[in-house]
Amino acid sequence: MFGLFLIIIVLVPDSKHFDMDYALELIDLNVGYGNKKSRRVILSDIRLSAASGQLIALVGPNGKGKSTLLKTIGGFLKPLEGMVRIHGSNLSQLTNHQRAKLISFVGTSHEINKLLRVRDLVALGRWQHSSFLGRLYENDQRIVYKAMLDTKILHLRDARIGEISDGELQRVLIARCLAQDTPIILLDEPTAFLDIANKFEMVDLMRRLVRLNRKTIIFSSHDLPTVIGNADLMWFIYNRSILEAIPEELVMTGFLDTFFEHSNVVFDLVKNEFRLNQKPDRFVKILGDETLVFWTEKALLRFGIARDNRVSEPEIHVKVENENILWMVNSLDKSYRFETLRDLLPFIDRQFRNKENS
Amino acid sequence: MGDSIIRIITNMYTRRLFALCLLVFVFFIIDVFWGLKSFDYQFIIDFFKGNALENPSYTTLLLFRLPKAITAVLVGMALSVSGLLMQTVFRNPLAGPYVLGVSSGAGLGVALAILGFSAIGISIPFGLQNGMVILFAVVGATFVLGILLLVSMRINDIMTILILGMLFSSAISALISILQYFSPESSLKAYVIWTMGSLATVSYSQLVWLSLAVTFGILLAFLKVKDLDLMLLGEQYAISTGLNVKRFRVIIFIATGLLAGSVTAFCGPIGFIGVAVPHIARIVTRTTDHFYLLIFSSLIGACVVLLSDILSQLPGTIGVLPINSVTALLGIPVVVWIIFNNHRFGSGF
Repeated sequence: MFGLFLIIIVLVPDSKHFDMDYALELIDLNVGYGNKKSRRVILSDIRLSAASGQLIALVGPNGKGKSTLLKTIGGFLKPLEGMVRIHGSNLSQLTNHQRAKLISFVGTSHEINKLLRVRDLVALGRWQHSSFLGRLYENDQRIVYKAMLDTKILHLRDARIGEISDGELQRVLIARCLAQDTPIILLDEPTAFLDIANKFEMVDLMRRLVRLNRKTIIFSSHDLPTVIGNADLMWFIYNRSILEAIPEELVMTGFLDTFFEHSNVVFDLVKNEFRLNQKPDRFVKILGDETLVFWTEKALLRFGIARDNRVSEPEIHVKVENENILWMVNSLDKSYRFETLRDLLPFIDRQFRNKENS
Repeated sequence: MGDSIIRIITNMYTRRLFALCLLVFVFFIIDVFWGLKSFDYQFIIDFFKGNALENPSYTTLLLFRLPKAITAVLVGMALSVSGLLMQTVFRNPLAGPYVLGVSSGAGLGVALAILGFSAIGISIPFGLQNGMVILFAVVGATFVLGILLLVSMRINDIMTILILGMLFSSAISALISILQYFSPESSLKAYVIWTMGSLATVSYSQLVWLSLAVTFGILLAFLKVKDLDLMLLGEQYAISTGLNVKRFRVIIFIATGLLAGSVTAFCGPIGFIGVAVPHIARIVTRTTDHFYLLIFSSLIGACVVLLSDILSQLPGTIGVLPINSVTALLGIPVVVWIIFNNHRFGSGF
């Protein structure tokens, strides 16, 4: 009996999810630029929806319409056709004031006054709720404080915008979105100019906001390895429209190879990375510790040399001796010994070239 | 508004504000009294006691010095506030009250009044001339501002508006040059003198209009304090925070037109105050909060114009120097100093 009760409790909040109560719906949407006379459609026939608590990655090559779509959802561009619906209301019919309560936005180019202090910038997120002279009430001050806490920028609150790094600025701008307290947050390329550590911090932040604050976050990115494993949904630009999939699904079906339409780039299913689609015609046998073999192979790949342990020679044996890495090479019945990759790589390359020339 | 009044009383700006008010008062007294023929302590004491009515300096003081000092205060406030508004809206540290072409519009009106009528052989009776100049300046400034308002309601990009304003000013200057070329020497000199600016020509009845325009303009600016603060994020973020940018722009342009337009109409185009003073206010307050920037800009502006006026009529010099030259000579070192010493403040935009 108690068990049944528990099941009901668990199911009830979730049932909302199955009601198709979407935070955001894109209905037969065409986006692009233009007026009545001339128009340039960038993406067409978009039919998508997003629920609360979803982290959605908008992926696609540069210049194919990621920013255009985000600008349309954000209300900066009018849809050429179709409708953007947010919590049931048509975006085009909302005033600026109403829209700003539903959607907040972080773009790529910032024209922010560099003298502004971090806390003042975040506080501007409460702009609609502040007094006639722009002062915050106590409750709003609490919201601003919590926004800075959630984005881990409290220690920066007295710094001026001109004094903080790109990664920190991204956080500050996201804190502003949190202060604005909108159910939907749009981020244009939030990880584009960040180093690896900041990139992961940013993804972690987005995941936390989605999970704990039940936000719908849509971010554009051309960085697939960051997207896969983190985003709940992937909207990817395909054939001048947008398709929707769960990222892992796309990987498994091999669809990602078509990501860069005309180029020679393929997605490596195992390693979660893109690489140039080289077809090596030289093979070596590499033996030894797994990690050492992996990186030796990676270095050799640049010379068009791949690992295939079925060939008999050249044979490379990687091992650690007296805390130094050693490469023992058997080639043409001779043994060589290398202590650095700098010496090894040209040697192997030369071996193959000699063979090919003779 | 209650919360902000409490803030004024309790926060760290109070002392600076008090010092500034004192400075304005001191400069005002100096500007009114210094250099009068019978200037001494006895006269000042007599003046405040009401015993100076017989003194010949009393008339000078009441008819010339006092309205001039009041004009100086109004001009300083108006130009500094409108300069601040333009710097924020255009996100440009070198923007000033005249980027909208208000002064060249007024200039064209005045050129038509002074040069145009003499060119076609109509001479204006001397008593009417001052009134005509003001009327035509107002019409000219309003005309240019109106066109720019119409344009700005259709164009989204603020930089386009800035460029259009500058091009428009240049075109009008060209028109004025043509008028100058065809006008007789005497009226040409009258026009050139107008372009040098003067605080002395404003009578009490005109002062009423000037102060009304300036008060209304500054009031409009204070009504938009919150929006001005938001504009520091740039237009895109301002829009996404919920600001109706086009409506905001129109109101700010009207405020600037009122402030810069009325000053130009009554006193001629007075340069450099509007560009330099907002920077001084930023350095003094170290804030980006427009509520304080507006207050400090207007007070510092009043100080600087009073000081310029004092310098222009320094006792011992030959006559009175044109106010425009003095403000430029005072303002340019300030701008240079800003460029060299406050990179941070210069690059804030």
